[in-house]
Order: sequence, then structure tokens, then C-alpha cells
Amino acid sequence: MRRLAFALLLVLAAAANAQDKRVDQKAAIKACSGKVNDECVVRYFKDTVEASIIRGRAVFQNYCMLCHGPEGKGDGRAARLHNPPPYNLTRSVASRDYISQVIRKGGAAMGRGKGMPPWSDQLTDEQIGDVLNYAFSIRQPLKPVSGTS
Amino acid sequence: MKHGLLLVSLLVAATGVSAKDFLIDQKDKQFSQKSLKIKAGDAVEFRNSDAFFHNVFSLSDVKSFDLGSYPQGDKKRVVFDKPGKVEVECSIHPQMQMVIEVEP
Repeated sequence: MRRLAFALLLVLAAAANAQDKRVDQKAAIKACSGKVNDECVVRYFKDTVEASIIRGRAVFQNYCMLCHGPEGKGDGRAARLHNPPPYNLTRSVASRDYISQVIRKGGAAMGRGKGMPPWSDQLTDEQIGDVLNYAFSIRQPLKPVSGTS
Repeated sequence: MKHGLLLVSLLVAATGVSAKDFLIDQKDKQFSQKSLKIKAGDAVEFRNSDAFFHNVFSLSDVKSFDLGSYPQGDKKRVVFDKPGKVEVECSIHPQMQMVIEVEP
């Protein structure tokens, strides 16, 4: 239970660092003429978390999916080349700042798997922020560890 | 040791075949060639001439490998020992793709 509480704290701390502006549903229905889809959200609400996650998904699919897989579970088509295997991002409890550094500097510089390249030359700050928001959006809720108090 | 070298030299001379080294450059986020024909046993060096990292890999059944990320000026060598088609990519720059045809 203590472990779960600690993990939740980490998630909340990470979320606090993320963008916190949200799409206003009424404004969205009006701006999108009743059809609120990804294109409309990115176009008219670009400063919101929702728009950032949509852009981040595109970044993920272009650069990260190869190893981390379509759902971020570490089972991409190039996963078999790597030992340790690519991380299952849906199970991650690491902080936003830590993951940001892993993305920018690569796995080797952070004492992790060498398979993760450094992305700071390839991705802009905005793209890294977006893909971080996407990575946090696919995290699955942690299940309580049985047998602990 | 001398006998070993002599034996290899004699074998090479007898078959008339010697493995060659080829160079593929990575410049402006492109491989210097889209395709390359080599013989089994030949090697290819992948040089990074860009000011940023590249990460060359292949998932082909004939030859799968991952050279990891390496910076400008570095090069890494791969020996292609089996015939077949090898698709080579860069994991950082998805647009970078080339095919190496390894002939028997």
C-alpha cells in the first residue's frame, strides 16, 4: 500500500509539471461546429493538454513506436534487437523530469539501456513536451500490491 | 601463426575470392546510396558524417543488427555473411532507408 501511495505521489508530482490548461467542452462544440475531433482540438485549442497529447501521439508513432510498440508496451518491431528490452511505458512511474532527460540524453547517458538514442538533436522542446504528455496519458493505473499493509 | 596466415592466403588465392569492404555514408539524414550489391562475406562500414547521432539497424532475417547511436565521425562495420536482401534503416530518422543485396 505504501508503494502504491508513493507511486501515486510521483504521478501527481509529474502531472503538476505538465500543462494544465484543458479544452472547454462548450467552447469546443462551438468552435468545432459540433464535431469535436483531433484536428479541431489541435487547430483551435493548441495550448491545451488535449492538443498536446494528440501531437505527442504523432511524435510517438513517428519516432518511438518502432521500439516501444503501438501502445507503448515495449513490444515494437525493433524490440527484439535490444537487451534490456524497450521499457513498457504504460507501467512507468518515473517523474516527468527524469523521462525528459532520458529522451534528451538517451539511455546510455542515463545509465539505462543503450538502445534508447538521444533525441535532443532531432526533436524540438515542444515535441518532447508533447510526447511526454502522451506518455503520461497512456499510463495504466497501478494495482494495489497484495499482502502489504 | 605464420602457417595459419599462409593457409588463409593460399585458400584466398585458390578460390580467387577475397572479401571487400564498402563504405556507406550518412549525410544530411540520408544514406549515400539507396541500394548496394555486395557478395556474401563482404563488409559494409556505416559512417556518420552528420553533426548529430544516427542509429543504423536492420530487422531483416538474413542479417539483423543494431549499431546503436553514434556521433559524427564514427563508423561501424557489419559483415554480411549470408546471401539475401537486407533492409537497413536509422531508428532516429525514419526516412533513412536503404537495401543491401547480398549475392552468393
